[in-house]
Amino acid sequence: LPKLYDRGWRQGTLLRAELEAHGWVVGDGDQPRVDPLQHGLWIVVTQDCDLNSLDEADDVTSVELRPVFEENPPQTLGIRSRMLKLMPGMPYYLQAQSRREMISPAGLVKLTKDREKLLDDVRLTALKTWLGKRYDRPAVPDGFVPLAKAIATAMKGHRHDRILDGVRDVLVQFADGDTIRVSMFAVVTDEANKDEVERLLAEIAQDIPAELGIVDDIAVGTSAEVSLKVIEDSFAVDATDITWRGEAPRGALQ
Amino acid sequence: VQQTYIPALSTRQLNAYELPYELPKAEAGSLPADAARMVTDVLAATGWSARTLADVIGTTHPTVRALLRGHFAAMPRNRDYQRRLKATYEIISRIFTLAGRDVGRTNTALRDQGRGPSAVDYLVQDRPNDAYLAAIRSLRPPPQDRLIIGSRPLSPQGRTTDPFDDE
Repeated sequence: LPKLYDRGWRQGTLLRAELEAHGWVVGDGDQPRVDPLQHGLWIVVTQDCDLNSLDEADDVTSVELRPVFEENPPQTLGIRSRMLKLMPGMPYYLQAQSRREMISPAGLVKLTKDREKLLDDVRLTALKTWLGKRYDRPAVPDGFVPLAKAIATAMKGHRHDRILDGVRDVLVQFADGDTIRVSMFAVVTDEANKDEVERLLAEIAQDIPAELGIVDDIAVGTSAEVSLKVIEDSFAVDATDITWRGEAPRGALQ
Repeated sequence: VQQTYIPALSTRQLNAYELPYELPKAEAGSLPADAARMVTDVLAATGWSARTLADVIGTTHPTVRALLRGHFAAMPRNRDYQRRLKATYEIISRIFTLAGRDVGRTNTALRDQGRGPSAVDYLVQDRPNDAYLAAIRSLRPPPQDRLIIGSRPLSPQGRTTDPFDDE
């Protein structure tokens, strides 16, 4: 029997299908109940090796889908932030806290109205990185929260800057002391203009109130130039928040 | 006078209920008192003369002296000098702090041409972002390696996993 992979299904395939994802909530009656979510745009996140082992007629729920959102997309592409923009110049993005849907190969084939291979190799790698990194993120310690909030606010002020199109993510590290010192790193696409990104970070640095912290280190590099150590040891900034959902960052222990 | 807005010039209509002109709005942070404080702080942090600061922000030293007294200069050479003063202040106040509030180290960081134009060179060209980059790189030279590794790893207390970091 043909496998899903043989039929062109890949990790990163975007598909349109009206599916209902379920979550559990406690409603007004203080009774747990199912909270259904109807959604029409999804992406396959199951890896290609698994798709290559699944018969298209299998009816066991073994393919993982994530809902793809279009409203209020993030400005940066995102490596570790709570949202991952799938492609530059397009509104599609994933949310870390969104529901997942498991579907059988047979159901996938039957329910899909339309599909396309949206992601090129670079963005597919970004998706894999994001899926892997979402669950190993550091949290900002309480003492740095006002500074983290100020950095997020400063970033927000530049969210419409087209230079951010070439930025996969902005990462920061803090050094405690009388004055908190901040290192800012931007991970950029190969096509990005690094000098422009550096200047943008320098501008953002000057928007951060000096009494909260001062940026004394700015570096910009492609994924080939930024070490895994930086990825693992830094706080992630995106244009809307720093590692938190909601209006503002909060302390890790609150 | 040049910044005064006269609506009738653009709309070709007169409104009897409005003044025929609008004076330029004063921007926050550009009031004489703020300007005086910024000039005072910059001169103290760098040891510069009023003439040097005037060169950096593209105006004349009488203008800088007027600001020190809390006045706007009546006929400044460069009408953009208040914005440039603020940009210069934002950079120099940070570099002064990073340099341990040492005037000598601050000046060295601002005038260092070891990697190309200095921060002062860029300020003179009205390129504050390049000036900031030049100054912080003088104080904390980037490593020669192409690989960016960072130097401020998180403490173990700073690490946690989902869902802690989302709450």
